[in-house]
Amino acid sequence: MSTDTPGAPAAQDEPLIRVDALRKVFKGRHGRPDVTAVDGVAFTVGRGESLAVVGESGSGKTTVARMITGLEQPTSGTIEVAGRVRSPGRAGAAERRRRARETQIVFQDPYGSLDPRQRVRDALGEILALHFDLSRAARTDRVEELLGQVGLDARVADALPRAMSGGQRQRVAIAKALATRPSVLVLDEAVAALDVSIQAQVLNLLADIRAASGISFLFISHDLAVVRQVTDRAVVMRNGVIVEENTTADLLDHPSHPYTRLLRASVPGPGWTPRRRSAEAASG
Amino acid sequence: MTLLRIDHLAVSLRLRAGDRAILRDVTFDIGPGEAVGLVGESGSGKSMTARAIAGLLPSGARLTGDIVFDGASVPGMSRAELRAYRARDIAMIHQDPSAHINPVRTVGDFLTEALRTNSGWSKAKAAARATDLLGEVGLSEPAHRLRQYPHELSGGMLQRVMIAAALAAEPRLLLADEPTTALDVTTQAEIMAILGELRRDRGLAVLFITHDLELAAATCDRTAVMYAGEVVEDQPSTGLHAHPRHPYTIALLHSRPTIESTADRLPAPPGTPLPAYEAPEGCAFTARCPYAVDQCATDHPVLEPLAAGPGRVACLRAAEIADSPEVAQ
Repeated sequence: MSTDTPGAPAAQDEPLIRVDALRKVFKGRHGRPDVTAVDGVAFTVGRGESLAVVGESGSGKTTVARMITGLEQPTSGTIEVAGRVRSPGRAGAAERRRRARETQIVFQDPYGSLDPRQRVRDALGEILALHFDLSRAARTDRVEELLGQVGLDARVADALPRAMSGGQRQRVAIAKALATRPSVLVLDEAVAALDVSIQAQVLNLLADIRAASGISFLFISHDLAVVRQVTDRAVVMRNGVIVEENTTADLLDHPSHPYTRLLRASVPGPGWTPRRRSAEAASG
Repeated sequence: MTLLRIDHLAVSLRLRAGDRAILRDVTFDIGPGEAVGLVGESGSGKSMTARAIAGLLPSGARLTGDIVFDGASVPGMSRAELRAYRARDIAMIHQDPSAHINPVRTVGDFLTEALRTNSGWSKAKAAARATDLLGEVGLSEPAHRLRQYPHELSGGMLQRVMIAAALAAEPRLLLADEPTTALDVTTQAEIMAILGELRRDRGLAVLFITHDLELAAATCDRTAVMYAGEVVEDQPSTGLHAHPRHPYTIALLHSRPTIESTADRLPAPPGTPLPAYEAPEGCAFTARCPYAVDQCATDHPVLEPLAAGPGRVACLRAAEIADSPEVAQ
């Protein structure tokens, strides 16, 4: 597969994504107070690196993902992708297409990003037509390449989303995300809803894609075992701030922040004894 | 001694296109105070098994085999018997508590309704009992919670309310259908701790339905594994985890990544889980099984006791696999 990297040229040792002092405040509606979802987050993602953002609901991890992919505007702070700082405010059509060739996102529920009346082949062709000036034959070849990359056969390529299994739909969502040849794939709980055997297939697939293309992953997840399998480095978020950052192996083998330790101790396994916290802590 | 016995249960739904099998052969039992995990992927029939136990199958469902609770056949119960069984003997909690609570009634109304209707208690007595129950499931300020509405509570708090409601009638069997799947991991640990305590304190039997084999193995006495509408293996949880006997159980355990290490490659079985109505004549796992031989496609395996130790497995090659698990093909 091709390894060309889109976007502005950047030095190889420069991080691909640099996020600094990132903050997002959601205005309270109906007289409710404002909510600070992300509060001064900073991290980098290197070229070809896989970074995990770990956290529970309300940690702000999804808001970070949405800001990096341009689905949400930061309240303040900077996001730099491939050496270019994203300008604040709404982006125009050309800028949005450019960003779409830098970052792509895959969600937990692929249904939301699939048109129920569009066949997979047509959905992929449409993205290619929007982003690249390809001949019809070249476009057909590229569609086949994408289908092969995510392990879908021709039968699925001609099917509608409702005729597919959950695993197949998630493969389609990944193929759509890869179509623009992004340098970063943001995966927001992308394997969380899959059955165990299908989840393993998709995790293997993601490893293959990264090895073959040198793409970077920003892997948003609450699942520490999955994070161990597919990421090099991890940040742990709680209440909008990063509480710990380390290589994934060290973070999980030697968690130092109390919250990371609590997360680690909450993973069931042989000999696991779940413990009650105090009633006060439990009410939170 | 057995509290619940499920004996070759099969359920099919009558659809316009014909009968569609949902459960094909479910056999396991639960002793008083015992926790049994029922594990499987989507479409394996775990939830339908729970519905059959609760006598809540969709209308037009055809059932063969038997479900026996404390000596009484559930499919054979009259309407009145079924009502009493559901009100007193069993209780159920679900994955999404907000779908099972009236959003415009208070937590207190929800908790006291059954006590007042089924037990004929006064409002004050029921409220006092509800307050105690909320305390037991670890909610702070229980008296205040009674006046709150469901939307004012987090998912973990609401699941505690559901557990409190399930316990109100002091049932002997709790059917817990993925009760922690939608919760954060730290909240899951908390809920499992509470369920474990209640079970020990009250001698409550639990059927714990989950897709998470690790969670079932860590919290249940025994674990039964379902595939395509059938129980294919049933072992004490420690044994199942250390020495899985059915190729599907082996595949489930191995394909799940672990928090301790990174695998070069996850040994994922090929293909997708099969719904019961698509199951072939022989073993439903044949097409995905690394141990499969020709005979597997035609001969339907039945649950047989393990050669060594307690437990049962439905696999033609179980003995060979037990002797040397690495023998594939």
